[in-house]
Amino acid sequence: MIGVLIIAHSELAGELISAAEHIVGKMEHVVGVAVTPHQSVEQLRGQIAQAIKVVNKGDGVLILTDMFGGTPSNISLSFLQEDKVEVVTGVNLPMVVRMATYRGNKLSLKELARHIMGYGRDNIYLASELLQQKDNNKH
Amino acid sequence: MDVALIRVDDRLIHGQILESWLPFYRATMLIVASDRAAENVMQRTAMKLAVPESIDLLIDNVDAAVHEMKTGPFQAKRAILLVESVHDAFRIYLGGWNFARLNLGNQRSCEDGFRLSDSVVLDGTSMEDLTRLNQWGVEITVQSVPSDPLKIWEK
Repeated sequence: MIGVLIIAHSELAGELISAAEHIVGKMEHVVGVAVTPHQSVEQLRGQIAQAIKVVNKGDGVLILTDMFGGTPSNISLSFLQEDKVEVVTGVNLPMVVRMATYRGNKLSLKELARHIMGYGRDNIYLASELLQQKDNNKH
Repeated sequence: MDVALIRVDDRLIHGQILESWLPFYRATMLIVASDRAAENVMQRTAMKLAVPESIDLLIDNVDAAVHEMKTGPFQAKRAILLVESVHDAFRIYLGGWNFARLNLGNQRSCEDGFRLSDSVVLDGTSMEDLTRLNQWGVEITVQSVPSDPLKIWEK
């Protein structure tokens, strides 16, 4: 199974995992890393390396970060490795939930990454417009 | 060239710079003076992608950056200069770029060093460099983002 590491500012990673688990139940091989003002870059790098080891079950590791250009992403990029470690930025709850329910589908690391990237993106709506659409479709 | 901010930040280009400091100073240029970043293609690429098109970006080793700042074609720009450490800021000062103010944002050179803030913890050598800069008249500010209360550090 593809392992997942979520790394984000403050307690976002841990809270995203907690929120997702409320929805889909306990997730295996998923770990969160918090990025705060209190860590050195070296410490963070070490934490990420350690987390990758923990979740890596031989099928690769998907790293989800909160924001491209932010420290969680910047440091994660240095772990990128074809077929072994992939990074998707802009993590949101739909993405995490989808990752949990889709991981079992025997996709390659890149395929899974690409799929949930698109899913995270597609699940951002302007509610009023969405509801209007749905309303129009009824008539 | 107007260097509006010289900041010690071992995370170099990241959210605080892009979302807080750049808009605060309405800067049109970012200069990263780092020997390490100058050598690291992946890091340079990531930085280029993170910086909006409208902002000029110069990434160079410390000595070359000083030279570029003195002689480069950026005279109309307002820039933020980023260095990874107090020591690199010290090198820039010695290289002839005599700044009046230095902002300490993020640096953790050691775990049990001198704690200037939640995100600035300095070892002995850094403190010596900082003290000398301060003695030469540089105002040292400790601030993560512009909306934080401004702390002035003095020996």
